[in-house]
Amino acid sequence: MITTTTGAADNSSCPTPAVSVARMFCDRVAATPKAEAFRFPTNGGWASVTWGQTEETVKTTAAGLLALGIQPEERVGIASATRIEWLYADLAIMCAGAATTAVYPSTGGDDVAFILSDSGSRIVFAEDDAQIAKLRAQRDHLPDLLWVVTFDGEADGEWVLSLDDLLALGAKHLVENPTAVDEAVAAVQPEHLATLIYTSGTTGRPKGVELPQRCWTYIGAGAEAIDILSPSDLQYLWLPLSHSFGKMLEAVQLQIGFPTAVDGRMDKIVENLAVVRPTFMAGPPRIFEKVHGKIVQTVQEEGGIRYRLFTWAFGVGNQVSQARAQGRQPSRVLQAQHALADRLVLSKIRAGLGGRIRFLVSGSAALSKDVATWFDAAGLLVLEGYALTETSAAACIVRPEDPTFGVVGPPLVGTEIKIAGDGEIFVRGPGVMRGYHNLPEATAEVLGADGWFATGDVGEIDEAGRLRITDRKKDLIKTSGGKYIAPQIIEVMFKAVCPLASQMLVHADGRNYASALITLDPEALAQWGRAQGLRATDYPSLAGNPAVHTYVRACVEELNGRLNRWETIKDFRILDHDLSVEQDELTPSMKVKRKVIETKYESLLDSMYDGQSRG
Amino acid sequence: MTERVRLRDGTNAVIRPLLPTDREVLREQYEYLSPESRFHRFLTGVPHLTETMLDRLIDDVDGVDHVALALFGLPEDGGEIPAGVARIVRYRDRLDTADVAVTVTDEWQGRGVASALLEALIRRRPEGIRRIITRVAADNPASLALLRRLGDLTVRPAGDGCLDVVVDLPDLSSTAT
Repeated sequence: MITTTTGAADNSSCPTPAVSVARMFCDRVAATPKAEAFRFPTNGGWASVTWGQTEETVKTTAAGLLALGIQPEERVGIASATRIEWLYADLAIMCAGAATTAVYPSTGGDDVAFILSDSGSRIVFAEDDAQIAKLRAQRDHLPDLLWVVTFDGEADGEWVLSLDDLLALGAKHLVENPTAVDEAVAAVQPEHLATLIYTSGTTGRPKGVELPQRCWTYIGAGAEAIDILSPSDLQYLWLPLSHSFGKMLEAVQLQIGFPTAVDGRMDKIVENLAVVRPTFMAGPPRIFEKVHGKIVQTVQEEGGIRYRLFTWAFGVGNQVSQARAQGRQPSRVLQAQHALADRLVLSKIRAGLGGRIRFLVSGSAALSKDVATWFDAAGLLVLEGYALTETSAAACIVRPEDPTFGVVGPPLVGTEIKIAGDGEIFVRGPGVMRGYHNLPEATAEVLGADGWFATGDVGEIDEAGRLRITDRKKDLIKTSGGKYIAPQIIEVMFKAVCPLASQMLVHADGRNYASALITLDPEALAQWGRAQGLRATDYPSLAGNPAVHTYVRACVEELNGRLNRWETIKDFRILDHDLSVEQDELTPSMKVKRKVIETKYESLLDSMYDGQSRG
Repeated sequence: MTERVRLRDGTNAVIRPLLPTDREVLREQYEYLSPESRFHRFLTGVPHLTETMLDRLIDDVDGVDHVALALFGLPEDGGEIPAGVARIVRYRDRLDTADVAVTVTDEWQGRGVASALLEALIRRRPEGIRRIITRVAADNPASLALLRRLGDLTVRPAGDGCLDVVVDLPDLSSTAT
């Protein structure tokens, strides 16, 4: 039976959420001041701080922000990769009663200027000189931005302060006003703004998602209610904290109190896991695909007996995980085989991740069922979750006691999910945003007065109340890295830079990068061919001509220069005909049938991904 | 073939078939559309109408399998302002089925131009058309509401940010006014 609602508004089985993120932090410090809070890389090793030590840094930083005049709910930006200072800055902003505006370090200068001015940010934490340079270049457009505080960059004492400058200001402020931070913490209310995270839209500028304090405190309480983590866990955190997925993990940590090892450098993950030996880690599907792809490729290249052993071991692992999924006890023979497979192969995969992982969490894009199954065969459970920034990055998650792949689980306690007549998923609960910043109309389009948020995704609810995402309604595509791409914006830009273009279809759904199918305008192509002195005049020969390819490639490169890094078109194919009504690629009135085209040219698209699976 | 209509906001307007001489008007009007309206028309980004597209949108209109109508607003101070275009095109392999497309200039949206055009279009539809099969961007509820008024409507997500829409039209006699 298929139902259309799951979850309940009743959250009495959930601990009472704290009043604010600052309160959560202070409660955590009071509860376990001597317990380890964070680990972070220092010169060649790892340093560790307790909650009590963290409090000192955070409160002094918060006092520094108050000394610079920050007012309740005023915005303070953070433009940095994930690192311990990001967390200190964010917690300090919370304790000052202000709100954080998250900025990706990779965001381009124009968008940074837009985000900071739209949010009305008064102070920005800028990671390094590269971030400062972006701000300096846009300074004329940022009249409200009073101060920049840099982690590693060069301070100028005039506009840019160092972190030490801010701490000195804070220490002085605390001598003069010893209770300043405590008073600021006490004043924060659940509906006060905590975080502004900008999400890209299909057309126009990014929209600021306003997440009040109650979103994060609810997520913390909701995570405690499902009881899958304890203070004895150790998290490895590398996700961008500018993304709601990363931010959500911070809230969960404050509530539960496990320590977190923080290092945002992606190229250090493998090396660090072996040293840190975490018990859980979260990431977008891309990271799981990468681990899977790398191991499989290495073993394939080695070939021979090792490859056969590997294939056999995973076959055995698969049978055991299938038996478990069906609630069966594996047969004696299978158990014996599994013990051997585990010793020879599977345990080594787990050892590569430190050897202590209890489970992994995948979120922010759909995880391929094949990849999840592969990890499970190796004894690594991947729990898939589902949410959007607009629902504070947590709405549903698969529970370890009911591990199922291809679904995103039931909702958190206190969150309701319903499926509308056209299949669209709606979410209601304390994790839902209060609206888009300064955009009442855009807010009204997705958030009803009754509290239901329209996700733009399409799905169904199974008999066990688990949500399955089947499709997406809005015109955004999501890469397996969890990044949104608005294809039509890119397509318009391409047609503007390439006079030969007729159509471009950007493809990235569930892939780890974007590619495109391109068709050319027959008239423009013929004319260009004549001007270049090419002999061929018909479309198929011209479209296959290397000179045409070179020209189109130059256009794509020019296009890429105008795009954010994750949007760039890494590869393309020129079709041997323009899209046509006759070939069922356009409707008779010339509307593009994107899905039909993607299905028709699936193998051509696959050829641009070198056999990598779709997420 | 020209009919006068009064829009919802009281503005007078005329609806007439789109003519080969409207090529430049069509090209120019498209330039003034917002990116969103352009996307809703072709379901892909099309910054300008190319000659090849105009051949299809103008020269292929034959009044038999492809009917296209244009609406011009008649402001009180005189003149004609192009406000919208609607077309209905028969599928080659399904003779009783057609696709529709309606585009209204942004400043004329919300004034009843699309519903006036669609009403006239259905009345003047190619002979034998009993069903509409078309695609609508998922973020375009206004178009969906218009189509719903034409007959029994079925909607299904197409999986690419668009909805596949089927409308079974009632007999022509009952819609004729």
